[in-house]
Amino acid sequence: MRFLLISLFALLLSCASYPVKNDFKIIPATQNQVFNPYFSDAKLDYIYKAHLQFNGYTLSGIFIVKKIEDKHYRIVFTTEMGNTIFDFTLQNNVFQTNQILPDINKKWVVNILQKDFRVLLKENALIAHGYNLSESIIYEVKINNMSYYYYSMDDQLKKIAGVQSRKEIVNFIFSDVEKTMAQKIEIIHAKLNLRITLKAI
Amino acid sequence: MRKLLFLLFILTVSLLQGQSDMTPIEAKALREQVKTLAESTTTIVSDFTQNKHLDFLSNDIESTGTLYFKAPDVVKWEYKTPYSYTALFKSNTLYINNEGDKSSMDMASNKLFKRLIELIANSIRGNLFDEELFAISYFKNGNKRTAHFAPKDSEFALYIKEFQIDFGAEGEVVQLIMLEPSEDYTKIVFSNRKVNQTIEDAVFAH
Repeated sequence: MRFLLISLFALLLSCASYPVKNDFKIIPATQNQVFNPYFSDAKLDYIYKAHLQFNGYTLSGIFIVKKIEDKHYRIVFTTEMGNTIFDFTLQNNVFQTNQILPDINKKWVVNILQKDFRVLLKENALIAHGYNLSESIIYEVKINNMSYYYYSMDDQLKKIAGVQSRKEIVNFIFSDVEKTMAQKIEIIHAKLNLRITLKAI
Repeated sequence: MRKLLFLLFILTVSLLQGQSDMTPIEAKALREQVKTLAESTTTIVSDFTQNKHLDFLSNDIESTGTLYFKAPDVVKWEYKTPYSYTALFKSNTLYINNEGDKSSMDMASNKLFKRLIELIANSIRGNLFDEELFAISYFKNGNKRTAHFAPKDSEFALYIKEFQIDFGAEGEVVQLIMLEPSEDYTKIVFSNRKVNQTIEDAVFAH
């Protein structure tokens, strides 16, 4: 009987949602949107030294984002010598590819990049639920039918976790924040063995 | 008074015209001067300042470093600010040291990238005067001499619209612009150039 109860408990836990699995406490959301400030200033040029690691393969370059106007961004990745690797425009949630190197121009690669950039550059997201965990406030949002959890501490956005089937499949980690710019950003896809590290220059 | 106005008009037009086409004789003289200099150059060490211009940015992205060249085809770009990054092109391989993280790429398998590296290496010496590969135009503006090289290969032209090279008095490259079809560009200005000095093997080690 005891074994049955333990097994049932283990089964329930494995089926539990991401908030339950991580022992989040539900809190009433005090706002209806969560704000990501990190690419929100149209006066700034966001320039990062980028390092991409994928299955033992590495690629580095300069990652450039410019907010042209509300919901309109330019996203460019170049080599250190200035040659364009890719150049996207994101406007009203629609991507346009301005230029891309043939070696990078694979559908699955472009899909991952564009999915990540949509999240990275989403300035305001509607909150579905609010939680807290220890000193963190966590807001759950939906972006393109996927759940993302925005972790903040001391009013500063620290991490965005993209969750599918109750597991984190992508993490955006923001650190060394100065005003509205994160000096370091990591985008980590654990299952894909893909890590993108951005350091402000 | 009328003569004075006419002279002022001519002077203004001359100043506004600035750049003009070289004559064929001037163009030939430049080619020969560059060729002679390239043939007598075994090594180059030069500081550089690079500016990446993207039209939508408020400011160009500036980086600085040192270039090392050893004839015929070993080139090392060593970026020092605002990041530490080295690209060494040697024996058909690109060796990278990215802030201490080392990697390499066989360029033989990547035709486009290999060609780009070869062109950059040749452009350092100004050695791009190949009418089969480029449509070439020549300009002068006072003492400044410039050649524009537009790739004839349609695939390559998708990525580089034109190389624009400014030459100094001795035929040396003083500035290189890589112009993209979007009209964005990378500008590299060379300074403190030293030619035919011994470069330690360690500089090209990887």
